[in-house]
Amino acid sequence: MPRMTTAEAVIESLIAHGIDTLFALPGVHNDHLFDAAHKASDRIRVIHPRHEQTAAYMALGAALVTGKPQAFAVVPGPGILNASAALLLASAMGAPVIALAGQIPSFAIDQGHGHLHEIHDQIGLLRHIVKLGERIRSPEEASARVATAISVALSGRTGPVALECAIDTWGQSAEVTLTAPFVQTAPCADPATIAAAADILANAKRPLIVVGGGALDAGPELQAVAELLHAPVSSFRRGRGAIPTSHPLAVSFTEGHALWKTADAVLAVGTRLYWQQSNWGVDDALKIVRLDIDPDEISRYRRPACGLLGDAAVTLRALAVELRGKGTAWQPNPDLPAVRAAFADRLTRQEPPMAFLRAIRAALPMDGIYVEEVTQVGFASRLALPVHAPRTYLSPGYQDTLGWGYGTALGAQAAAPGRKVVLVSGDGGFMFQATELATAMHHKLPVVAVVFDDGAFGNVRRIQAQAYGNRLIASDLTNPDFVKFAESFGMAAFRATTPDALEDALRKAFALNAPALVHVPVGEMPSPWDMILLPRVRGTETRPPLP
Amino acid sequence: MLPEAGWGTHPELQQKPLAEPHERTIGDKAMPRMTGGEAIVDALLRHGIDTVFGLPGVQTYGLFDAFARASNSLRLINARHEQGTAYMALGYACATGRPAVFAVVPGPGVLNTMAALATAWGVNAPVLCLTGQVPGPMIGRGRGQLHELPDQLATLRSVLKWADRIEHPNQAPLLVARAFQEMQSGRPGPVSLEMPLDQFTAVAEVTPQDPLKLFPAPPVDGEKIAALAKLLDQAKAPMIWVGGGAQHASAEILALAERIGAPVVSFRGGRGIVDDRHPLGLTVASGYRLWPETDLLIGFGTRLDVPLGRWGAPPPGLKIARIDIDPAEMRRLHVDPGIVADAADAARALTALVAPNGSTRTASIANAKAGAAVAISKVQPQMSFLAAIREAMPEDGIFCDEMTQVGYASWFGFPFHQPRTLVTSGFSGTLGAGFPTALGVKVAHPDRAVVAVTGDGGFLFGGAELATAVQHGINLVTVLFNNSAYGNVMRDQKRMFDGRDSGSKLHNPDFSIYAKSFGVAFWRATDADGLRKAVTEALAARAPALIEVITDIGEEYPPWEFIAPGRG
Repeated sequence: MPRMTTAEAVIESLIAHGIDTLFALPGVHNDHLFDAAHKASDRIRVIHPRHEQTAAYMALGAALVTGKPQAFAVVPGPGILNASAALLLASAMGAPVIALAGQIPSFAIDQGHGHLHEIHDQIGLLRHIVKLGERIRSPEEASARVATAISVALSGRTGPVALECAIDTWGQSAEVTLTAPFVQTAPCADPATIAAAADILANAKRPLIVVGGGALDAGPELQAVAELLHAPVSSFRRGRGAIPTSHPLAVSFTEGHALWKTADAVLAVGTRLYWQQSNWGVDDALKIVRLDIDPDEISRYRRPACGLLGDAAVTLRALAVELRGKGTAWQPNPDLPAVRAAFADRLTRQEPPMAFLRAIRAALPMDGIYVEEVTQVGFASRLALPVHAPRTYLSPGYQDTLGWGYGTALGAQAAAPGRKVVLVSGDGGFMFQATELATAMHHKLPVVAVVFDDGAFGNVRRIQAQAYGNRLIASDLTNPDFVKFAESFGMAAFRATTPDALEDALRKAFALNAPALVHVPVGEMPSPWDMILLPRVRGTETRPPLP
Repeated sequence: MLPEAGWGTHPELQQKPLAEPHERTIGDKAMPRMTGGEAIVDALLRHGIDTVFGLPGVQTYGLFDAFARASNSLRLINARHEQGTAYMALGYACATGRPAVFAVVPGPGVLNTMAALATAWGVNAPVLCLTGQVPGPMIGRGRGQLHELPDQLATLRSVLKWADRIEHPNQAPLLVARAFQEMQSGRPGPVSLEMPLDQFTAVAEVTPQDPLKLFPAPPVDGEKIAALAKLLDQAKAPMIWVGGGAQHASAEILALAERIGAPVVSFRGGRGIVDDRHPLGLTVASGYRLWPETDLLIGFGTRLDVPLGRWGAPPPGLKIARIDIDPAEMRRLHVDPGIVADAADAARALTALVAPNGSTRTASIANAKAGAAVAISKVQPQMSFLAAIREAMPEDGIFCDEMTQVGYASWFGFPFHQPRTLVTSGFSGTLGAGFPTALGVKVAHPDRAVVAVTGDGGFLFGGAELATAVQHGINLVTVLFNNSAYGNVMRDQKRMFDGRDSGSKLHNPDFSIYAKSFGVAFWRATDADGLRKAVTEALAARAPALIEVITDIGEEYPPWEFIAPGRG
């Protein structure tokens, strides 16, 4: 048994789990951890940003692009609290992010003496947000704690976990047994339930598939089921890319709404099915089959006709076998061409956002990664940006956390070094992490940030104007000169006022293979919400029954 | 910040924007009908609040519209990150001693303010966090509502003194009054109120509530104070330590000190209670020189962490007494006598009981001060920079620290003349707090000179808020000491780990172009004279200003022997 410190055991265990990058901000509580990382720097690199929030967002971006666990480390108290919004987002998105937080001296924890960075019940606080939160109390247990935490992060509905370690524990050494990674299983749903689901779907005339972030790793299986049934596949934010947008059965969120009206069966894979059940309406003529890995999710909103509890890919594969066994020749949905035409017509009102998106897509390679901030062009992209592969479209999902984008894009770039990464941001969201341009330059992360600048929290401003008697408050913004701002970091910067100029700037920026910023001054954008906040189309119940 | 407004189609869940402005109901005697947002704003105005720091979003639209309707008596200052709103409120509270308010969306919004709230807890600042919630019927269901944070209230309570939910507009007046009572009574601290999105716009009859009386400070225990007076009469060399809990007790502390001829020593929270120019006003550096002869230590509103934790073994026979408003402090550090009382009340009572002992120690205290002044002058170049800033600042100027070498040195090396003129993150040691907190200080004191010092590491945590300074005309002067590193971390790493450093070297912007990109006036200084000139000009400019001073961590004398001399 090798002799090592707690910090060394943690680093070795992270490496054993395939983690090759630690996104981290140093500080006195974690000095030993950083030194252990330094000693292992041939196998793990440290990327340090300028604010703890970005360490966490970078780990999130890396996890979203790879689907694999990613780790960040920060000091306790203010440090981990600065990362907490990103952890909440990771939780909502089911991202396996491993948070390592320091702690004050072990003998003083929760005594209230006022140690540097002390907060009350740090791990208890974190447990509100993460799947598992534990304290590493000795070098002997460190490796097992890491293996357990990562196993929890990866099992079932994936999600973030947190480990804390006291300043004096990191440096303690002992003879240590390293715990090997636990084997993760991909459970298949119960065969009888799969058969029941197949019956429902096989007997449907207009089946519809709705996918969320839980379907991203089940693309081929999903496509097989969809093609068997001729069922359109609707995705919104997190599910985009589960099957390529170019597939004849891939439809947008808005088209999904039109198809929902006449659907007689729905297969929902890895999605809360929130908008559909909450806003679009349900009735007895619509049979809902839900497939989810999270037992809490299936009946959270209402009891489905059939609930499949299992891994999406494995279960869909079994479902396809069951469906093929029926020998039925299903017919294409006759409504689909008209639905597509109607949506294309509605999209013509989304200018200039659509023109900007066409420019971005034209410049972004097929395998390029697109990160959307919470902004008007970002909203439009949720509906209409062509997406060619899973994990190339990063959206903050239901949390819609303003300011998540730039750090997430940097993390995505760190995890996918050979690929192009573009961020689409507003001026409001961009400033949340704007000083991380320094990080892009320091670590040579060639993200191209596109900042659509309307000098406002534009969505807020529009709602204040329209719904609150034009009483504008706290929504107008005074911005820096973004080109000069980027140049102050030594970064290449462009200004584009038209879609053509944007495409040109993006091509030049990508060719530089260096971090860049493109400033796009814009006026007020058309509201996309008429295509997102869609009316009830079926059912009479005003509030769905609880299970 | 929230982009969308879909939360179900049940009529109760539909937000009802108010198309027609209401009549202002603030101050009405009758039971007015008002929205939840208006009820909160009415209650804030009744508590003397005229400034709110805030970032709007879907869940708080109803609250912000109430701010907008009250805009002739209440100003709203927005920021570029929720942390900025909370730090500004923190600075406002620290610099005034009065409550300060910020408003943010729930979930990520409020989590973005948690480091500032934890800091407010650490420095006992009365800060009120107003936040939203998902729609009432959705709370706790885990359905994935926009900005949903599981058990938000419990999460907030972990770092706050008190928190509650306003479930209905007619609860707002009393709960807001309770929040003000909790944050100001006893040991002050941060509090929070949350309201479900739908209740900000719901209309109800509301009973206005005048401010509640604060919980009375515990009476000074006569027996214990007499025992302490007796100890004082017997002591040959007492030392008074003051912390943040004595910031309001400047006159009483000074009267006591002068009566018994005892030095008053402070570290961070207690700076300025006694003017550093006063013969009895001492710092951690000068106080330490008197430590070996000290036979009685009396703490007022302080944890006594420095003398008992950082000054090494106490002198033989040392007696310790403390006065603190927080009873929990008495179990954390049990001494006899330990008196639970307000610092001013106790100092006044003690002064009345003790025998005068004016002049016997004058020389030794003066020697300690003079000796320390010589000793700390080797902390260069920090001491020269601090002297330059002090000379450029008027008597009542306010100095805001940050986790940076000049900030550390300021704790013993910057002369403070008045209470609440050092604004610090205290034991929280919150990297990145300094600059946005100082913005709030300047908002509170637009007519006083406010200077923030910061390092390149700390500054970029909130450096985008230069936009906020420009937008709102917050004429803060920021002095940025740039060593292109998390310098203290790098020095520690190299010392501890055979010269290795990890994650501590930084790539910075060119700060002159950076400042200009915001339209912020910029100076670069290379020495103390240049800094003095730049600070003088920047203060005279009455505009947001950034001054960069290039430094080298390797050439700086470490300050720690004066901050923790007992630790070797």
